[in-house]
Amino acid sequence: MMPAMEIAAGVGRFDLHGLTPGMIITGFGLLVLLLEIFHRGRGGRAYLGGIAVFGLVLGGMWAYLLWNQRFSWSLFRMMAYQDGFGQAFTAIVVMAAILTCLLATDYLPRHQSDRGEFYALILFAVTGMILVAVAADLVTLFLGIETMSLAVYVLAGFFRHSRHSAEASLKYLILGALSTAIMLYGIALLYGVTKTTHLASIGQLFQESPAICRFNAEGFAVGLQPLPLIGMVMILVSMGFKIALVPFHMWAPDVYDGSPTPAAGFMATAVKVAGFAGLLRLLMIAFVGWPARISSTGWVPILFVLALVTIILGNAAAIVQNKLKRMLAYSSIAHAGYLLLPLIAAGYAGHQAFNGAVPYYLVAYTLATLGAFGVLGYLEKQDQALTYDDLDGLGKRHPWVAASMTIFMISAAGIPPTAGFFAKFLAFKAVIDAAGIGQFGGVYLVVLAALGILASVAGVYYYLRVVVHMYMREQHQQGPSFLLGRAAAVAIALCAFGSVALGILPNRLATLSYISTIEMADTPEGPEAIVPAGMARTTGGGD
Amino acid sequence: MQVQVIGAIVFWALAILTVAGAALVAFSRNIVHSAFGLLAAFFGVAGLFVFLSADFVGMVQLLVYVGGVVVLFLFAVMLTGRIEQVEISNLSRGPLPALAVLIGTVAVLAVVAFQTPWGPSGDMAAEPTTAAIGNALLSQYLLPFEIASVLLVAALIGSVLLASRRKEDELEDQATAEATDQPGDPPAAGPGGEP
Repeated sequence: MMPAMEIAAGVGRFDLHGLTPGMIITGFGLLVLLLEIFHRGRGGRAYLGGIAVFGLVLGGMWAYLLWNQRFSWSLFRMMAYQDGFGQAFTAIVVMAAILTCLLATDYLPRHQSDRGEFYALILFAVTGMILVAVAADLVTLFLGIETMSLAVYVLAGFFRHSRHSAEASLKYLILGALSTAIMLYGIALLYGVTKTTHLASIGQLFQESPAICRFNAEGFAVGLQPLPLIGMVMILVSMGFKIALVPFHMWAPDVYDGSPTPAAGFMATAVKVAGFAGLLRLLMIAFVGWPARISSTGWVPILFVLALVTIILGNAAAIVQNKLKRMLAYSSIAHAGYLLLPLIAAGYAGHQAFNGAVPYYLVAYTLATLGAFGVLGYLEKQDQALTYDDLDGLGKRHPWVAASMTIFMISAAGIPPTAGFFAKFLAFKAVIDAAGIGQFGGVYLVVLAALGILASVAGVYYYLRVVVHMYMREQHQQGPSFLLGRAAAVAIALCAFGSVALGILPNRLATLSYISTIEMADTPEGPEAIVPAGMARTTGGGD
Repeated sequence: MQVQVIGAIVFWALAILTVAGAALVAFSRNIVHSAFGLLAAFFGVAGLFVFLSADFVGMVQLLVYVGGVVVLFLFAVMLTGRIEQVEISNLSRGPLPALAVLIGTVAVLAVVAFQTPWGPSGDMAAEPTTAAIGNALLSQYLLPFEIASVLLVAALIGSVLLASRRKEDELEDQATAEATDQPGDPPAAGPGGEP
């Protein structure tokens, strides 16, 4: 790109090359802001959404090109990685953002909030998410999370005329600031023990340092010292808040309920994707160690309990909801629980248990959830929460919308010819396989998988309730008389098409997911140690 | 020996100042007193930084928090009418659960603090850190430094967006002025409170 840059402060061209998707997207964010200033007259601002989508497509394509090079290297003196994992998660986040922008071009003008800043904030949030996905250092990870969160707090309060939206934003801001403080506390404690913030260095210490691990008489690590343990737990708590795991989930239904619907969809999907990317980096690179048995004091038992309560309580709370947005919020909480299963499997049985379930699940979940939020955004009336009854007779009034919604619900429930089925299958398969590989306590994993499957069967109730209301109830309320905007229709159609296509032909994406997971740089069993910045090397896959 | 005694006295004085200031923030019923308590707490923290030979961070703490944030708070408090008559400003709700959480947290942290073999800090010469921080920011930590600018842009845009009102909004408000309970602008969730 720019060889001259190599002199300045040790920035190599490879450094900038690896971060190009993020730079493109930040640039387009600034461009949208500028164009907003020069916007005159009463015309719509959908073109700003179009520009944002163009920038996102460009960034996503660049991420794909980078990923296709099959090289890993570290950027900016080991502050970030360019590897298949980071670029794959970048692509998923970008996909969610594109769909959100398309939905917003239709939704915002109808709610008197047609402002270009919405798209700029989405782009800035995506930049933060990309940095979370490529982070190689706790500093980068933290700043990425904060960039993402700040933008999303504002998106939650984007309806300035609505008290509901302001409440959502304030609640999210205050609880989010608390979770940020907890994460910083944890990082400070960890730094106090390890004297480094670099993930891979922390990982090395977690495997061999007596300041961090407790060793038994034979020299095997049996657990963590209290200080690193509490530091790790604090970081996990904060990440748990971002992805809405159960004891830290209270904000999610209220915030999704009050936020503009496309923004709520963005929070439920893209924020969660970035959270899982950061969590995977932390767990696989930094908090690694001995084969973490269920009974040890590693993170596996913590995540085990969190996954169990998240799946059960998320599904149970979703069943009793009557408002659709709250139902989707609890369903997204339950999905976060299922998404923990492959992580537990990987922590328990090592990298043999990787089967690419996490990226695949996130793609399937993003398509179904954003599509469902898109449909709700179309049906929504001013400042009035949608309930199941508002869907009555939708199958007759708007057959295409109802058909798409049916696909989303079937996919979210995990019923066969959809992506959601295959995603759940991969997640549960990872756990069952791990139970066979690991040496101790595999029976706990089998119990976890069994309870998870039971809970997801119970979850079918509230997903199919939507379908029942759409097709089997008489209409007694007037739905929207206007037509779905073209951009939003394209977004919903893309979600529906993707959900079905990935369910029928899951191979390609499953392979990509698998490769991207094992292409995470710096994992102990994956590609070996890092090389100095600016020197590319092949990874050749870790299997 | 003498040095250690003096060091201990300085440390405890600063620690008491910080904690007492923080307690005043939390327990005072008068919001102006709370703001002054915050001032004391920030002063104490700045002193602790200097005491740890982190001169640059100590000065930044003074300039930004004592000189900027607290003064801003005071302005906001003084310029907001009738803020002192608001009765519910600082009442504690649900003291029992809060006490349980507090005791649990303190117990866990105390166990951790007593079980950890704290190593000696070593003799660190008190040398100026500003140049080292500057070098680190533009070499090792260049990427975080640049990300921070994106973060600040997002924060600025967000706070302006939430706090400002445009002509179109006011026209709309006049048109829909029938709802009297609509807040003019909700407590602008500006990101200023972010640590």
